[in-house]
Amino acid sequence: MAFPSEDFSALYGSLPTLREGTPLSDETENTSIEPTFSPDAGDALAKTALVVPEADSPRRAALPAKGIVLHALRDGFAAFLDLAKIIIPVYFAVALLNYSGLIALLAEWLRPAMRLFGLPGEAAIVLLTGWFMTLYAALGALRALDLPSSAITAIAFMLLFCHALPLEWAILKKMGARATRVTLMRFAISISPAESMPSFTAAR
Amino acid sequence: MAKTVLGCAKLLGLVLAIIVPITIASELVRARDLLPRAARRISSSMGRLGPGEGALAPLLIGLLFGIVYGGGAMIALTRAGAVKPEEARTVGTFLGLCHSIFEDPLLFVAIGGNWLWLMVIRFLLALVLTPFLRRLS
Repeated sequence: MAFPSEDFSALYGSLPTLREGTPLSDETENTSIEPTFSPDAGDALAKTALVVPEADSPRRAALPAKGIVLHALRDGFAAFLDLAKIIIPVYFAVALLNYSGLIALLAEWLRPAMRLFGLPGEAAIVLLTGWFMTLYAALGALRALDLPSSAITAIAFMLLFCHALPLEWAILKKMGARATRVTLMRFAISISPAESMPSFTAAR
Repeated sequence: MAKTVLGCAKLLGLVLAIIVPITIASELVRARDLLPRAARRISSSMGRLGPGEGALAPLLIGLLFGIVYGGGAMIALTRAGAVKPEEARTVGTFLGLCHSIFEDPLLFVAIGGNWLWLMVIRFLLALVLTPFLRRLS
C-alpha cells in the first residue's frame, strides 16, 4: 500500500490519500462505525461509486490506457522514493550495528526467546523494527542481515499479521474500532504458535 | 562498505520492480472502474456465503491496496449506510490480519521468502481466525 494516487478519493468517497507512516488527517468528524440507515441509503450507495458508470460516460471514455500508465509510473516512482527514505537509513543502521558486533550481542542475549519461535537471535531486531516501524523498514533490516530463507519466511509471516502497530492502532481508533483490544489480539496472534509454523516445518 | 551499498541498491531495485507494476495495475483497475463490477460479480456468486455487496468493496480495496485505503473506504461506506456494522466489524478484523496480499508479501518473497506461506497460507489462516476473533473486537 504505497502509492499516493491523489484523486483516488474522487472515485471512492472521502478516502484519505496518504501512505503508511503519515498520520491521518482530522477531517472525519464521525469517528464511530455507527451506521446511518436512512431511507435513501440507496442514493448514498449510488454516490459512493459502487454504481458502474455507463459505457459512454465521459469519465470512462476520457481515460486512455497510456495516460493511466504514465500517471501510474509517476505515482509509483513517487511512492518508491518515499519507501526508499525509510529503507535506506534502516538498512545502513542495521548493517552498521551488524558490523560493529552489536547485533551479535543482542542475538546471543535474545536467543532463548527467539528459539521459541524457531528463529535465530538476530530476528528479534527485525521483528521489533516491523512491530514499531513500518513493514518496509523491517524489509530493509531483514535484508541487511544474512538469514536463511526459512527464517525470512517465518519472520515475514509473523510480521504480515502484525506490523506498524502504533500507526495501525491510530487508524483503528479513527475507524471507531476498539483499537487497543484489536492491536493486542493481532500481536498475540503474531507470536502465537500458529505463526511459528513456517520455521518449524521443514526448511524450504 | 561497498558491499553494503550494493546490497541496499539491490534491495531498492527489487522494491522498485515490484511497486511500479502493482501501481500500474491498480491505477488501471481504479480508472476502469473494475472494482465495483468485480465486487458485484463476486458477491452475487458467493451469495449468502460471503460479505454483502457493500462490505465487499472495502474488503477488495483492503486486500489489494492496504489497510489505510480499505479502512478509509469502510468508514466512508459505513457512514453512507451501505455497510452493516457487524459486516464492517468482520471485514475489518479480516483486513487487520490480512491486507495488501500482493504488494507486501511479494516484497518478502523477492528477498527469499516462501510465497506459499506468505500469500496463500496467510490468507487461509486469516479466514479461519476471523470468526473467532470477531467476537473479541
